Amino acid sequence: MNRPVLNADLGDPDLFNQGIPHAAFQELRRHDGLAWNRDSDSGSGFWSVGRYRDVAHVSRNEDLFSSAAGHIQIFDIDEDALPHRASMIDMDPPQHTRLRRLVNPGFIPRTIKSYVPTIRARAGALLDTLQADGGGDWVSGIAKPIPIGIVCDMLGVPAQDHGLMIELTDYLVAGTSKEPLDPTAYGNTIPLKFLPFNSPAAFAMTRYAHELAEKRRAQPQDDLVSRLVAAEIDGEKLSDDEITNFFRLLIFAGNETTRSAMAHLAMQMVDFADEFERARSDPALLDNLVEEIVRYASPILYFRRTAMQDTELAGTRIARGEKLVMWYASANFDETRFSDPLRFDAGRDRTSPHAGYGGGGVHTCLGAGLARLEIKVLLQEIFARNLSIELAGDPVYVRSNFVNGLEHLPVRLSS
Amino acid sequence: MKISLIRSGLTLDWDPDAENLLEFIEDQDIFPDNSCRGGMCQTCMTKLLSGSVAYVIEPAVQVDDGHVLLCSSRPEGDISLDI
Repeated sequence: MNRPVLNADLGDPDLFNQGIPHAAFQELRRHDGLAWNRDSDSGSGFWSVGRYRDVAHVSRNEDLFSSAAGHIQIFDIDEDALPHRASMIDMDPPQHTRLRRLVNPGFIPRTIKSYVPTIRARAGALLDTLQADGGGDWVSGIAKPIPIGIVCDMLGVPAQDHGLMIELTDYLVAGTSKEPLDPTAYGNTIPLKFLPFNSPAAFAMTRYAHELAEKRRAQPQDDLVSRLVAAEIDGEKLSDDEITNFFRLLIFAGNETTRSAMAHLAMQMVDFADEFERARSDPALLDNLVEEIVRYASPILYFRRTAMQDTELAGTRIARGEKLVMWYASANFDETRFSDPLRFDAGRDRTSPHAGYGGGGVHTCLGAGLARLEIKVLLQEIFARNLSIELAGDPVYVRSNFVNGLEHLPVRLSS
Repeated sequence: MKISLIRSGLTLDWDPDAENLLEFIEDQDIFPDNSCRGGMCQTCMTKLLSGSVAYVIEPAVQVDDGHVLLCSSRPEGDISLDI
């Protein structure tokens, strides 16, 4: 069958090494229907979904487009490996609903708001340190430590292990590129295909989570791990795999994504200083600015679904078992939803949500409210110090077409 | 305005500072299933046994007859919910 293809290969992480490849995504959105992306490794490929409306359709129809079948990243994993790796993000309802129910209470607005003083103190202290140094790496100085600190507090990971969690998260992301990682890293003994992200960091994180869970079983604290080990679903406790997979998901999702947003925030302050100044002088725009930062950053570039039956989307026939990749980084710049989408607009209307937390549906980001608050408090602390940011070197991107992350961002700070 | 949670056997005074019904109910330490908190999934869809609601966010998904999305609505008067 002749399938329409793009010029660019969206499966190639190097296409993303200067950030979002806007030209390729513009081509995708202009394209009639969906575009087929061949995968040279597997001999198969995936459908690229680029318009907001189509991403939302896939995202909100979990019966038709499964997270549990296949994998939620582009590369396939063997069926026998799936159960070992699965956390709620790799599940469909009702299994997904049952697990999400356990953690939802930790993320309600009242609970999230209670973290504000901690976030503010941490953000303020880190900004003061970086400013006293005249600048440095924004990623390691600001963007990494703020979110990891909060998610570790929530889970019950002590402060001395925050650095380890950052290191392991980085090595999980490294597993999303095509090159296999060293299978023996962190003393790993498990075949990589059984490990989330195909990364030995998952082995280390599982071992860590297991030990923490044991400690909390013996001596419960007021934290999420204690809640998970005590939780029962229909009279049954969670299995060890379920607990450790949950831990890994929350550590990863709770720090990598917000970290990327905060790293992009600094670049956006350099590129769009007027828009940040506009929000500084009009605090009513602050919530709009937070949304615009995430839309423009699109920290997670895509998630994949698998079609459960033959269907049609945007005039394209999709066969059962085919992969669909929802490119959030394209949906967030869809001209039919966001006027002048490449313009960074601190006052952009918030009533048309972006896809930075997903395209709707049951897998919408659990931590969205927390991320919004963390970014808002960081902005308030930047504004309170009247800081301005200049680049002191080129940004270095994470080599990935899955996360829009920055490894390093050298900056100079002044006020 | 009274909010009756029939299965829980509770009748509560609506808090006008609450953003939506979901947040109001969570403030009572009752945690209805939810996911998107923005009218973009049906996880928090709940049977409305009496009364009516107004949507603060227009639902982007189908809401079944006689049901409400807790995450994006507020009561318009006394209501009772199947919670």
